Amino acid sequence: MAAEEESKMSEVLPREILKPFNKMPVRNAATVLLVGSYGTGKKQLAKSMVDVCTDTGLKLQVRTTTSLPLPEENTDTRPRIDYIAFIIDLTNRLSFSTVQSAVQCVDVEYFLGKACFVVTNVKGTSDHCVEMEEVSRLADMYNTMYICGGIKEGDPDERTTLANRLLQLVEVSAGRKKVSPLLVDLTCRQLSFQEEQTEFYTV
Amino acid sequence: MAEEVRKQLPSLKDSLSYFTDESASTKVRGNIKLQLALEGIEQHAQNKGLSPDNILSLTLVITRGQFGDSTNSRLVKCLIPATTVPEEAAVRAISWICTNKPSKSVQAFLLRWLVLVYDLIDGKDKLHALYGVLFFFIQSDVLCPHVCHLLYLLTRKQDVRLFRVRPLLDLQTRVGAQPHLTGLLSLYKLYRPDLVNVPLNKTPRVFFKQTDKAWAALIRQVQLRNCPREERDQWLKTTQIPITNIFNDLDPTKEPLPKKAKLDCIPAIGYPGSLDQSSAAQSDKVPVQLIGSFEELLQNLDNLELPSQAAAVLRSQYLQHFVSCHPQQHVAHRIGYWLYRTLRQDLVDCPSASTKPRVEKLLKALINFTDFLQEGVPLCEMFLWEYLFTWNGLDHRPQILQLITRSRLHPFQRLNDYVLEPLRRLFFTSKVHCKCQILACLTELLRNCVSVEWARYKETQSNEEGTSSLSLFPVDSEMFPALQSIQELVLYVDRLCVVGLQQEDGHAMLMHYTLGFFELVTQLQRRFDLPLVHAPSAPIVYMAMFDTNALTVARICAIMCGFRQEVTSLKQKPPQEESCGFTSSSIRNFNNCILDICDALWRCKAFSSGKNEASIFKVPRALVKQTGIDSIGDSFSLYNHIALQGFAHTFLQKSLPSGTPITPRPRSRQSTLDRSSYLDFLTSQGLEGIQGFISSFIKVGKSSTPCSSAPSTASSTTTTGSRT
Repeated sequence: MAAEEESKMSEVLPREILKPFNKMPVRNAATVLLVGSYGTGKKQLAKSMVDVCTDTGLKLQVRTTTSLPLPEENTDTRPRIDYIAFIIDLTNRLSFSTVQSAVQCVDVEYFLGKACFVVTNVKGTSDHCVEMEEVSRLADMYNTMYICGGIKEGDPDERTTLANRLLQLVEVSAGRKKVSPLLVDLTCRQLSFQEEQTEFYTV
Repeated sequence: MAEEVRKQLPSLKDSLSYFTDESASTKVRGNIKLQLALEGIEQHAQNKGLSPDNILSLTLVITRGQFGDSTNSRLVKCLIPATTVPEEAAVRAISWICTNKPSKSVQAFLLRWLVLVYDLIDGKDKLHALYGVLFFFIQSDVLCPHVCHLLYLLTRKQDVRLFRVRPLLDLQTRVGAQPHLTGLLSLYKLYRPDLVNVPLNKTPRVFFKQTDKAWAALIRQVQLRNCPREERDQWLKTTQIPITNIFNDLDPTKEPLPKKAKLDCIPAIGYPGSLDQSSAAQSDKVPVQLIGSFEELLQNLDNLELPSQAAAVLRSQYLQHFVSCHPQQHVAHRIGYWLYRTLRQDLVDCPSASTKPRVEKLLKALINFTDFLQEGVPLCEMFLWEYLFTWNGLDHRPQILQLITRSRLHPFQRLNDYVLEPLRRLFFTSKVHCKCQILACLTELLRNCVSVEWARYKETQSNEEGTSSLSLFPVDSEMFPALQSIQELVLYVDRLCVVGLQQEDGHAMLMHYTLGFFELVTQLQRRFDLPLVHAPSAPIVYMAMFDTNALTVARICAIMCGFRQEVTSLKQKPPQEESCGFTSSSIRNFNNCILDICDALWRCKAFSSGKNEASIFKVPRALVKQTGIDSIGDSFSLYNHIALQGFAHTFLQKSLPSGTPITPRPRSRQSTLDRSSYLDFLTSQGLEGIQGFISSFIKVGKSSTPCSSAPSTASSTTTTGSRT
C-alpha cells in the first residue's frame, strides 16, 4: 500500500527541498512556516503567535502554506525558515494526507528539532476521521514531537497557550536560547510502544 | 414542503396523544401525522427530556407492539429522561422483551437504553427481582453483550449462584472468551471465588464496549440543563465535597437524596431499600448515614454496610476509613471501574466547557482519596496514560500532575513511554513556571516511589498470591529490576534539568526546584534505605557553583556533603546484591567536582588546575589565558565569589577596624582564625552548607599561618557486589 502511493507521487526535485541552512540568519528575527490544508486555522494561529511575540523583542514572521514544495518565484526574497509546524486536524482527512506529502519535501535537518506536528481538534472522539495512532506513528517515524492543542474550537486561552508553546521551540531554533534544538531533542529516550498496541476495552 | 412541515411541529401533548390513541394509523410511509408526531417528540426529548410519566406512557406505547420496528426504534431513542426513570417503565420493557415479539434490534435498543439510564432509575427492587429473567437472555447472541453489561451493574452477592455460573462457563466454551462474558465472570469471581474456578486474568481491564457515546452525551446534557439555575450556581460555588453526615442534618428515617447529587457525578450514598427503622432492625448491618462520629465508626467497624454505588466512597471520610481497614476486592474493582468510565467519558470522549468544574471536583476528590490511601488506583493510572497521550498541557494541570505522582513502580521503559515523554514535551515547550511545576511533580513521584511503592513492590514479590496487606488495589505485577528503574528515572530527570537550566539561562526558581530534587536524591540511602547513590551531574554542579545566588552555592555544597555521607553509609553496610550508582567512574567524576570547588573557594585557584584542561566546563587552559583576566584564580574565592561578595562586605565592615579600606587580605596573609569566623558569619546568615563543605572536605592545618590544606575526597574502593 505504501509502495503504491510513493510511485504515484511525483518526484521531488532536489532544488525544491526546503533546507534550513542555505541562507544566513537574521539577528533577533525568526521565521516560522505553518503547513496545513485549508480550514485548519493557520491564520488564527499565526495571529496569536505574532500577538504573543510583540513584547519579547523577537521579530517574528509567520508564513503559511497549504502544500510543499514552495513556489519558486519567491525563493530569493524569502528569509531563512527557522521552524516548520505541520498542522493536522483530526476531523479532516485531507489535512493528514497534505502533511504526509509535505514532509517529503523537507530536508532531514529540520527533523532534528526544528519541526513539529500540531494536532488540533483532539477532544471528543466522535468526529475524528484520523486516528491519533496514525499521527503518533508518523511523528515517531520522523522522530519529531507532536503537540496537541486547539486553534478554532474552545476558548482563546487554548490558542494562546499553543502559540506560547510553539514560540518556546521557535526561540530555541532561532538561536536565542543557549541550547541547540538537537540538544533538546536528545533528552528523549527511545520509545518502544509503536508496534504493540495495548488492548483497552472501553465502556 | 419539507421546510414548512418542520416549522410547525406539534407540541408534546399532541404527539403523545397521537401515539396513545388506539386507532392511530401505524403506516410509516406517507403518514405525515406519524412523522410529525415523531419529530415533535424527538425535538422535545432532546431539548428538555421527558418527565417520568411521559416516559412511562411512551414505554407503554412501545410495548403495546402496535407500531412497526422503525417507529419503535425511534421512540426508544427519544426516551431521554428529564429527571428520573420510573421503575415501572424498565419492568415493562423487560417483560416485553420476554414475549419475543419485537425484532432483535428493538430488543437490543431497549437493553442499551436500560444500561445508559441505569443510574437514573428511581428504584431497583423490582429489577433485582427480575435478575433471573434477565439472565436467561444471555443465550441470544445479539442481546448477550448488552445483557451482560446490565447484569454487571445489577449483580449483588446473593445473585451469584452455581446454577448461573455453569451456563456462563458453557457459553464461554461455546463462543470463546468474549470480553463481556469475561467481565461478568470476573465479577462473579470477586463475589464468590469458591464458585468460579476458572483462572481469570487479574490485570485491570474494562470489559464493555462503549457503543452509545453520543446518546449518553445527550442524556447528560439534558440532565445538566434541567437542574434549576440557583442550585447549579450554588453547587458550583462549593469547593469541597461535604461529608454527608445526614444524622446531624436530617431525619435518618427518610430516604436521603441530596439535590446536589443530581449534578454531581459522584453518586450519593444510597442503599437499596428504605431506611425505615423496622427494616434496619432485620439486618445487623449499619448504613453509614447513621454514623455520627468517629467513636461510632470504631464501634460499628465490623458491620458497616457499603452503599450500592461503591464509588460513593469518594464522598465520605468514614467510608474511606472502612474501605481501607477492610480491603475487599470487589469494592476496589467497582470503584476503579466507575472512576475509569466517568473520567474517560468526561475528559476524553465528550469534554465540554460545562463539564469542566464538575470534572475538577471529581479529580480533587480522587486526589484526596489517593492521598488518604497513599496509593493510586490502577485503573485511573491506565486512564491517565490514555489521557496524557492527547493532553494539551493546560486542562486541569495541577490535578493531573498530582495524580501522576501516585504512579506505581513500573519498568522504566513503560513509565517513559506513557508518562515521562508527554511531560518532557510539555517541559520544553513551556515557560519557567510550568517547568518548575513539572519538576516538583517529578520530585514527588520519586519521593512516592522510594517511600511507598518500593515497599509495596517488595511485598508483592515476596507474597505469592495477589492479596497484599499494603494496598487496597492489588495488581499482579511482573518481575522487573525496580532499583534500576528508579535509577534511570533519576538519570532522566538529571538530564532534563541540565538542558532546561540552559534553556532558561539558570533561572533562580528552576534552580531551586532542581536543587530540591537533588536534595531528595542524596537522602535515598540514609533516610529511605534504598541502595542507590547518585551525585548531580557535572553541568549542574558547576552551574550552581558559579551562580549569582548565595543560597544556590550553599545548597550545592550541602548536596555534595550529603552525597559523601551517602557513599560512606553505603560502604559501611554489608555488601548487598544490588546497589546502583556506586561505580568507579561516577566516584571519579564526583571527586573531580569536589577538587574544582575546593580549588575555587578555598585555595583561590579556580580554572587553573595542574592539568592541561580545567575541568570546570572543560575550558582549555590556553583559552583561560587568552581572556586576559588577571588573578582569575582569586575571583571565585570565599571572599570574592560574586554570590558571596555582599556577605563578605558586611563581615569585613564589622571585623576590620574602622578607617581601613574594606578589602579582604590577600590569601597569603589570611589566618585560619579569620576564615573560620567568616564561615561562622556565613552560617549565621543561613548559608551553613558552605561551612559543612569546608569542614568535611578540607583538612585545615593547626597552625595559624596558612598552609596548603589537602582536600579529602571520597574513596572509590569498589565493594564486591557493585556494577562497574
